[in-house]
Amino acid sequence: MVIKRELIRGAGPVAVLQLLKRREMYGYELAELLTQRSDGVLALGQSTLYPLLYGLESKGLVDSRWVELPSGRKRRYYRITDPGLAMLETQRAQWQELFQAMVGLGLVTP
Amino acid sequence: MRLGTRGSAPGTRRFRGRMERLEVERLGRAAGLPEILAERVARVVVESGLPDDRREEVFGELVSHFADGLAAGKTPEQLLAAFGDGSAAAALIKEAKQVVTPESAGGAERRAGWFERLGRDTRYAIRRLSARPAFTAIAVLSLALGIGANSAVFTLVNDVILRKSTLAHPEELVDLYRSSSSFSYNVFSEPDVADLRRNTTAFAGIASAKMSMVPFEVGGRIEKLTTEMVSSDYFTVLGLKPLRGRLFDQTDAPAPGQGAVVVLSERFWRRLAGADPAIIGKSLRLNGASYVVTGILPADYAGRLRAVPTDLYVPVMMIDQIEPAAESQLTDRGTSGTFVTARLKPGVSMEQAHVELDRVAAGLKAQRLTGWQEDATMTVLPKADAIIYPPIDQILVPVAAMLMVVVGLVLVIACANLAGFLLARAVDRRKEIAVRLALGATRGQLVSQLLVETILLALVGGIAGAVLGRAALRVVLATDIPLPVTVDLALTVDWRVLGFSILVSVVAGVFFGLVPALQATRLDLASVIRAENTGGGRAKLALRNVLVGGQVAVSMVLLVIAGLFARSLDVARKIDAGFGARPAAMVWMGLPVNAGAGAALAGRDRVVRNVAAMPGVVAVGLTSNIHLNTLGVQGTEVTVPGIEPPPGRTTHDVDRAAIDTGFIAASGLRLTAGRNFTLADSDTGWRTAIVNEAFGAKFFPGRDPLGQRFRSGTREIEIVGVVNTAKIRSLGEVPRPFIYVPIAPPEGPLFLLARTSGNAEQLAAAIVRTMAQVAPETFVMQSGTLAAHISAMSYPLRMGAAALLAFALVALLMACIGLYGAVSYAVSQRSREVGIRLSLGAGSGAVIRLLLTGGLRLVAGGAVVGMVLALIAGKLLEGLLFGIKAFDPVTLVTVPVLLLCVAALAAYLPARRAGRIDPITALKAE
Repeated sequence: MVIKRELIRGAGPVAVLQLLKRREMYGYELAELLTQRSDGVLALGQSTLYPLLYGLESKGLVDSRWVELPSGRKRRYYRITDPGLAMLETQRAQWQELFQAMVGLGLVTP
Repeated sequence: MRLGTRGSAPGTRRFRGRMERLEVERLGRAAGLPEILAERVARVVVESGLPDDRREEVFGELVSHFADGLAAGKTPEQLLAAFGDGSAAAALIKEAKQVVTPESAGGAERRAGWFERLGRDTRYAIRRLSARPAFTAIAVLSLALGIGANSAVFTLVNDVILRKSTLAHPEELVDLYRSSSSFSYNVFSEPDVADLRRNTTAFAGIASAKMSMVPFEVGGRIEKLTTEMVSSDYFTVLGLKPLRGRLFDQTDAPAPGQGAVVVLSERFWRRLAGADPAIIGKSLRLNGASYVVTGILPADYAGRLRAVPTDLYVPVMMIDQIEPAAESQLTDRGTSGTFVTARLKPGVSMEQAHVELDRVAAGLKAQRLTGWQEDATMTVLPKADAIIYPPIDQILVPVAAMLMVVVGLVLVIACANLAGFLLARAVDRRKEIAVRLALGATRGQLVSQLLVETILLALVGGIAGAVLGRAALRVVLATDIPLPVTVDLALTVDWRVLGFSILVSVVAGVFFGLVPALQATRLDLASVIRAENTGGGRAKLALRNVLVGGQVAVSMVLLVIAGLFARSLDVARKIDAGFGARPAAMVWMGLPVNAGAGAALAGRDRVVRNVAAMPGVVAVGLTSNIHLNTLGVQGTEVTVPGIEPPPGRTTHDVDRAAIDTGFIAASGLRLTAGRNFTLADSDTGWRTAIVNEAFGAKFFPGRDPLGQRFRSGTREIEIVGVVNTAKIRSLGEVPRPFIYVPIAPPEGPLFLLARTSGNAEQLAAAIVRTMAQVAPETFVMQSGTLAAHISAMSYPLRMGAAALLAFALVALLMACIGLYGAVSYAVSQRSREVGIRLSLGAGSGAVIRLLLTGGLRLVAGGAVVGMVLALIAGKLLEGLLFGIKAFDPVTLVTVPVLLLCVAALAAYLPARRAGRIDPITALKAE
């Protein structure tokens, strides 16, 4: 299902933060998870994950580091920051409220 | 805390310089990626347009992304499909890499973020605008023209009309005039002013000023200085304070002929003494007498008649020394040239003052004094309502209003152009905006970004406009205004109007650029993203079409008005002034006033004799009052038996001039009956006259005027000759009766005319040199050719036509740019349709016709609306036209044809491109 405009707007960054809350992840890993679990967040393809990550990083919501693999290849890992956690909490509360409201309206079932 | 080192992405080598995509692709392959993946990485990296170090980082990350995918067992094709085409990502990466918005932070940091965001938005806007140089140049140019025209005209209008009075309590000041049934704004004679002072109690003070041009030698050259002969309380009544020294008063000038003191204007002080305060206490020689400088007036007071700045102020007690005449101006009511401004006493109303003034007028009329006929009344006007002088204001205000409206329309067109461009781009940007919203950009961020872009455009346009406006003003001031006085306007570009114009552009830009862009974001995101660019833009396209049609309409209005003025000018040029048809030089000659009548006469005759002897000179003549003299009117009151004077009058006012025996030949008038003056006529004083045909027709209808007699004052005058009727006051006047009387001393400055078989311009210069040699005591008030003097009459019309034409052409140019843009855009939007038509066998001619018709439909609609508006505007402006009606068929046919031709060309050029579209490419592009 393609998530419609109003919802999708805030969903991308929140989804990424939510995934990073559990552990540090690298780009391909995140892209795959987002594609599997939330059809539509990356409506334009996995390539758009990267600008999203750079945006979060520049706002100080996530942090990144390059890690050298045993093969000698390097990979960039992303990690949620404290402001990122705070932002996620705020957003989560808002989504929760919205969800409750929709339940109340009978639009969705819990 | 940073977890790793930035800028040291692995698997890559240092990127140097601007990298080609192939180079990046090669690096991608070198990092172990299959060709299709390397190609995609290269595209995103190159399209992102980031600086090298950032690019390197993104490259490393994307290489890593695909390497991880391959390691997870995906095929390159699967990875590519999941990755997407990457173009949108490239654009977003470019932006995201510069975003620094600590939105989660509060307080001071948030404010810092706001500034940073502004900086970022500005940088982004600069990049966007410089990425489309053609669009930016055209948008800036149209704004610059619109804003430049507005700031130039408003500066002019502000300087002349809107400037606030610098006088103390201007609301208490009133200007007084003597009115008759034919003219409401006569000025007073000095004895009139004395009567006003004696017989009124409503005023705290009455300030009087009479203007005069006084010869003065500066640096070996004789100049005329604009001088005001003012009452001793002039400065205190107006509330003026000295800049330096002191302003003279009653004690300086206690009696007629006593009071040789002078106050300088700041401007003249600067010019004469380089603003040296040591000038105070020194003397200036004016008309052979010494005047002690007592003080300097500040620069913000330009004199009684603004726009004709006064150089000197001398006490009116010296009037007979400055302007010697047969009878003292202080006691004789024959000369009236004194402006009166009075200050109302506290608590006295205008009505009370008026009642008192009426009583004074009644007293003067009862004594049957000169100038106080039956119909004479007083007029009181608040000084604050006057701009320069009511009869001048009556022309100035509508002209200024018209100019403001015209440049306002030019700005409207400029804004419409800007709006058109932004609208077209808004349609193009719908997808970009939708994607950015999807990626978490807030509406506020988008708004601020678009706003910054629009404001930046408006600012650059405004700065360019200010430069243009200044240049335009310089051109206007450089034109030789044909007046013998210095007209000086302290012109500087007005920042308020510049700000206002920029604000209007920003509002227009926001309304037409931002609103549609945001509306686009309300569309269903997925459909916008997937449906590419078919449909959706129709409504905006229609709005843009309305804008183009509106521009055509406004251009039409301006072109028609400009056409009407140009036609008026043409008519004015063809008018026969009745004199001056042959080349002749004209020198306005000042005679020394203190040398005695005999010496002045001798000097004058020496000049005439020498000029007559110059090669090529056919005839030389003198007159006291040249025809079409805008600066003054000489008249006389006559009675003719059997011809009733106008109601309320006992005499007829007729214009007159004193001429010598050579004038008729030199000026090119034709003697139609009787004889020319002889020297004997001068000796008898006013006993004989030559009249024009209009005089004969009015006063001796059906009879031969030759030999008839009329009375002027106590004299009985016989008509000895009749000449053709020349234009006297204006080119458009109905034939005006005129009397020529023999010249006799004393007379003021004289116009010397010399008809020549050679070059009149060179002759005028030669006459000026001769005057300096044979009569160094004479001085030149003005010199040039008679032809130039006559054409000066149509100067306002010429300036009006030139300015209007310039603005109208600017408007047309901008409308054409708008039209070109609209048709170009339609071509790009319809390239698929055109491709289909072409592939189905339509000829390129048919395709061009299709698009051209679309463009011309806009033009036709605008032209029809424009014609209707132009007819209304023409009707409103009919009073300013000359010799033609608002419904002038020549203008109303020529202008639309011209406009349609130019517009057709503007539409044809882009339409022609459509005919060259390659069907295959057009279809594939979707």
